[in-house]
Amino acid sequence: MQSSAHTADGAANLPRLAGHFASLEVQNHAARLGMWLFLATEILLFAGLFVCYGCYRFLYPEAWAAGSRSLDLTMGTVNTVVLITSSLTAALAVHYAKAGENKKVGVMFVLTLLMAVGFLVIKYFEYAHKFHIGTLPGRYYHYEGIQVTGIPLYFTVYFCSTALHAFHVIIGMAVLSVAMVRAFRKKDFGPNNYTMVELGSMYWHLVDLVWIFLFPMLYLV
Amino acid sequence: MAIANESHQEEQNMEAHHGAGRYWLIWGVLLVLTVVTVVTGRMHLPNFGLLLALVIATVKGTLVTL
Repeated sequence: MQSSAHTADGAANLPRLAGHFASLEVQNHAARLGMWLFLATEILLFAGLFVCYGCYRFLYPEAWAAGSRSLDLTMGTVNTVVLITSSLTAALAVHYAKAGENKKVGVMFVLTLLMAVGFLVIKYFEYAHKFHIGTLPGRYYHYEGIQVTGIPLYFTVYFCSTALHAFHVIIGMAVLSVAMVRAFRKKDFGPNNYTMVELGSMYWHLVDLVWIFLFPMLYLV
Repeated sequence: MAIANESHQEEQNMEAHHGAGRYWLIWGVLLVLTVVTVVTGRMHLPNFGLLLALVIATVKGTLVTL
């Protein structure tokens, strides 16, 4: 069983067909369906946090406004632009994978990973500042500058949602790193063999999507 | 038969393979919507600020999914 597809780098694409699938088309469809189901569970996970956010914001609107204004909007906006741009490079990686241009796939993933690191570095500086002044979750909150009822809850929601998102960024980086190494070493992505790149990028788009909602909810109350 | 299936799949993939321009266009629209989100967010609109931000975020999310 050999494919007629060849990559731009000259290596032949030899997609592996598992024995329990009738064809490559069915196998790819199953992989995509599985990924969509997984992403649905991820959205449900974050939806729980969003519900908490909605309830507490309704109960403590002044605390939410005060907490939001204490965040660094510039850093949040830069992080949004960084993640949106990293989604572009992830999408371009899929584009080049379909064309069999493995070196470009690898380069796009390198750029995506660099932006992911940039996102985490900015987030580190934000966290460090909060730890320094004491705007921490729950009973650890000890900042004298904002004393409003419910403010520790705002920072509980802030840290829970952004830390969970940062954890997803790290997982996404691991997945994309594997795809990047494969693009540079095996060079076997092509018109018939790009599912790994596509699914990895889908996960990265989820990470971007979650941040697109978190950004206005936390920074722009 | 398997080879025929793969060739068919390859043809389908290549037909669906469009230019990269669409990704750049969506990226540009997402950046513009981010600016709109920040500007409208800083206005502190009294009643529909959150709703507007979520509508923009939903539009951005749809663009990412596309």
